[in-house]
Order: sequence, then structure tokens, then C-alpha cells
Amino acid sequence: MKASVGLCINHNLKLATKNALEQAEKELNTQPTGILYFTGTHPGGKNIYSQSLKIIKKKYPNTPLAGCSGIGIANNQDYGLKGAAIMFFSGISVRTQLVKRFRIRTMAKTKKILKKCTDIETKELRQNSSTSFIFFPPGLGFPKLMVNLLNHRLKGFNPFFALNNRVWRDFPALSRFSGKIVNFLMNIGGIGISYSSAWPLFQELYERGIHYTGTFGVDSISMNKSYQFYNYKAFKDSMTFISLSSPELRFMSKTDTGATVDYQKPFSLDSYLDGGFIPRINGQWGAISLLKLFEMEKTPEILEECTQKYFYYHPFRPLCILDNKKSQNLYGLSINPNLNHALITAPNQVAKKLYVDYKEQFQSYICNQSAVTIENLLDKSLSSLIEDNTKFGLFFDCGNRAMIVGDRFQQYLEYYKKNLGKVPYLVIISGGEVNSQSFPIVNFSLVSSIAQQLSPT
Amino acid sequence: MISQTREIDDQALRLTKAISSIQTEANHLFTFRDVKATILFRLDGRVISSFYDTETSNLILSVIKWVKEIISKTKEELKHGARSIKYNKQINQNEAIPVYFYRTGNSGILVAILHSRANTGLMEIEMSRTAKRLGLIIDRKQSIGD
Repeated sequence: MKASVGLCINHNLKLATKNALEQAEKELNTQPTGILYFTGTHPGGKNIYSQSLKIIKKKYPNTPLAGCSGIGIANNQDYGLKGAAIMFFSGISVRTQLVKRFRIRTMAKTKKILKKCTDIETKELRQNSSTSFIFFPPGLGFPKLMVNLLNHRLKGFNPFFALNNRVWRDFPALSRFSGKIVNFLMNIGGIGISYSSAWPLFQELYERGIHYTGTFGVDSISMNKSYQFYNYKAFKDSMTFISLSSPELRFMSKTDTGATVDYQKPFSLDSYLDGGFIPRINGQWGAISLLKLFEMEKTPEILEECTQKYFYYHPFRPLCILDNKKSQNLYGLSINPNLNHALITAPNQVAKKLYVDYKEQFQSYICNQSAVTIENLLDKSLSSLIEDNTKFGLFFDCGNRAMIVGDRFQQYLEYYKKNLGKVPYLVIISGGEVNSQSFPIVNFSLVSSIAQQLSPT
Repeated sequence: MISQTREIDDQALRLTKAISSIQTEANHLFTFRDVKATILFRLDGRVISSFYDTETSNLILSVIKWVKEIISKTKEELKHGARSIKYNKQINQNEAIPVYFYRTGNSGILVAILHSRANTGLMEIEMSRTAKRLGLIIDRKQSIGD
């Protein structure tokens, strides 16, 4: 079994793909049996991705391919927000599948995927092969109007802007009513927080003990669509997955967040809307209450700075909301200056649970993530996984953490380089990461997945 | 005689290559929607290359003028170890434009003027990368002969 990677950072996706392809070919030297293809976010929509996929198709018309567009890509040579990355496999059996419009009929599609996965796994088990699945579900998909609102554009004639009106604000009952309308609008097509629609699938897979990792595609320009690649075509908001099977390999994966708990604060959600909106916390308007929780009500300018840094939406501090101090399940709670609501980047399933339990004042642990904790995490996480017989590595790293690291991203990548040595690897900065070893799905995490060569017996 | 000419030609060729790769790198940064202008300065304040949107340049030109005024001050700060400096230039009551200064190699300063609502967290990743790569190219160009 052999794997190779190629990566090129360039705003011209076609050129980047061409260069990345050449690099990967040069390293591999044989015909690949499977291809993983990742890109950064490029303006121009589906066509841009389809055209660059044609370049690979010309050379390998029958090799299965899967992948998605992310926020950024990196390997041991380079990193960046625009460009293409390719990983070639040879000597292992690779299958790809596509499920279109995953968000619309989630339950039916989930059953379909589960059946396909179990079929593949049982088939491979008969040949003594172990299988690992890599999923590329549709990512963050806020409606355009909401993105505009978060960005302070299109003030007038916006149904979400109505929520910020004084009339709604002063009468909580009205707020809930308007919230329900917005909620209804948000749920047409299952848009909103990306994890919610994929939750049942990953829960089932986790319970059945099927090995998987996955990353949610994201378009950091529009924040309301994502692209998945399946056998040389690009699809919008679909689910693709790839299965890697080999009798010689052992697949291992791990989720880490590297957060340190600072202090605890009780809070209660008084109401919750799908898609991450929390109108009221502790009996007060969400944003005001959250500012108090973080003890920042006297320094709103810090909030301005942080929201600017993280796309007018992003949390200035992650909040750990599980009752166990040892568990590191992080969800981001954030405030948008243009919105009086608080926003949570947790799946609806988690947020609803919090809302139901609100009477017993939920304990929250406010966490701290910095470059230092992240570097420690990398050392800890990688050194326990990487051994001499490691064949390749795939790392799905949270885009929010990359933003926190910012200028020091380059130093952060040095840690990968130091730990991985000559092992071919790709780092995909993505909008969500999942892993079969840990459930529920958490934010701000790093999913490391590697394949080790089994010694012949 | 022939070998001497070839040597000069080689040097010129390498120099042209270096200059074009400087242009390509600076242009790569400018292709981001969040970036309004990128300017590459020499340490003495002369502009090596610049990219800005001609359609929205009125406002940007005033910021560029301000950048030129403070470049000597930032030069001193960058010389003494700071990797990057960020300013928020207030352009009107509601809007402030983030302006980043990066040290590029031994003899350059990269200035990136962003959109007032840019995702600066993400852009910092790309800007620091471009600054590093430009630094390598500029230092190589200097070793060829400026």
C-alpha cells in the first residue's frame, strides 16, 4: 500500500489542481486506486470546481474520487486558503458513493447510507479487510438573508431583522411567535447548523461501531452553501463518502479539543429556536445575558473586535456545556452585535436538551483555547498516534481554531511537520469534524485519522 | 566574452523571474474578496508593487496616502522584531478599515488594506503566508543583485 500527496496554493484552481496532481503522481509512481481531492474556497460556484475536476478526469477516468471544498488546506510544504490538495492511494480497495439533497429528506437518506455502509463493511470483512469511511456532509448553510443580517447588510426588508425590532424585544411572547415563523422558514430544506441534519446518521454509525471520520464542507465566502466532489463532478449541499479497505491496514482516529477549563457559571436557556438561535438566557435577552455571563458588559468594544475577527458571528470564547468537567465537549456560544440573540454552534439535538433541562440551572464551563493549548494538544494527540509503520495521515482541523491562531498558523503547522516526519499527510481546515471514537459531535476540535501498516503474521 | 554575456543574461533572467513571482504573490493576496489593496514597500518607503481596485479607489487612495505617511514609523517598529502591526483606520463615523503591516524578508514591508467587515482571523493566515513567501523571494532577488 502506498499513499502520496500533492498540494498547490493558488487563486487559479485549475492551475493549482494541475500542479498538485503532478506532485502526487511523481511521489506515487504507479496507477492510483483511489483519490481524495480537497480545495479551498474559490469564488465562481460549482463550475469552477467541475472544471478543475475535469483535469484529474482526463488522466484517471475510472478511479473513484471524493472530497469537498473547505476553508483551507495544508501539508508539510505549504498552506493557504485557496488552492487544491490531492491524496492518491494505491494497493487498497476504494469505493465512493453520492447521496444528493441530503438535508431535505434526512431520515430516508440516512437509512440509505447506513445500508450501503453495512453492505460494504460486511463484504470487506469476508475478505478479512478492515474498512474506514470518510464522510463529506453538507456544511454550514445559513440563508442568504441571515448572513446579510449578521454582516449588517440589507437592513430593510429582512424577516430576520424583524426579530431585532423593539416590539418583539419588549414582549417575549411576540418574540417567540416571530421566532417560530423564522424557524419554519429556516427549516425548509433543513438549513442552519450543519451538524443537526447529519446527527442521526453519525449516531447510528457510532452505535454500530463502524469506523468513520468526516468533515463538513464549507464555503467561507458565502457561508450558505458547500461543495462536495464525487467521481469528477461537483455537487452542492450533497453527501459523498469514500470507503478505504485493506487487509494490511489498521485505521485509527481521535478527536481532541485541547481546551482548558477556566471557571464555571450556571445559566439557563429560556427559549431556543432551531438553527442555533437563543433569544433568551437567564430571563434576559440572549446577547445581554451572555455578555454578563462572560463578565464583559462593560467592555463591549472587545466584543466588536472579536466578532469582526470571526466573521461577525463567532464566539469570543468557547463554552463547555456538559455537566462533567472531564468531558471536553465544546460548543461555541456567541453574540452578534447586530442581533440581540445569542447563537450556539451546537447541533439542535444538544441545544434542545439544554433547553428542556433549563429549570435545573445548567452548569457551564467557560473554556480557553490559545495557540499554546493547541500546540500542546498537537504534541499529545500526534505522538500517541504516529508510529514507524504509519502510512498516511488525514487531519480535519476546525476553521474557528485556525482563526484564533491567525498569524501564528505557520508555527502551528510546524508541529504537524515535527511529529509526522516523512509520512504523507493533509490538513483540511474545515467547518465541522466528526469521528467514530467520540460522540456527540463537538466544536473546535481536531480529528486526526491515520492508517498503520499491520506487520505480517 | 560569450560566457560573460551568458552570465549577465542568466542574471537578468533570474531577476525577471524573481520580479514576476513577487507580482504573482502580491496579486494572489489581492484576489481575496476581503482584501481591498495590497502594497509592497521597500524599507526606504518606495513602492515595489501595488494592487488596488480602481472602482472603489477613492476611499482606498486616502488610506494609501495615510499608509505612506506612517510607513517610516512602522518601519522602525518592524525592524526591531515585531512580525506584524495592525491598525484600524477610521474612515467615517461607523467604519474602520483594518490595515496590516508585515515584514517581508530583510528589505520589504507588505501592507494589506482589508474590507471593514473582513474576516481578519482567516485573512491573517493568508497574509502571514504571503509575507513569508515574499520575504524569501525578495531576499533571493537581493542576493542576485538589486
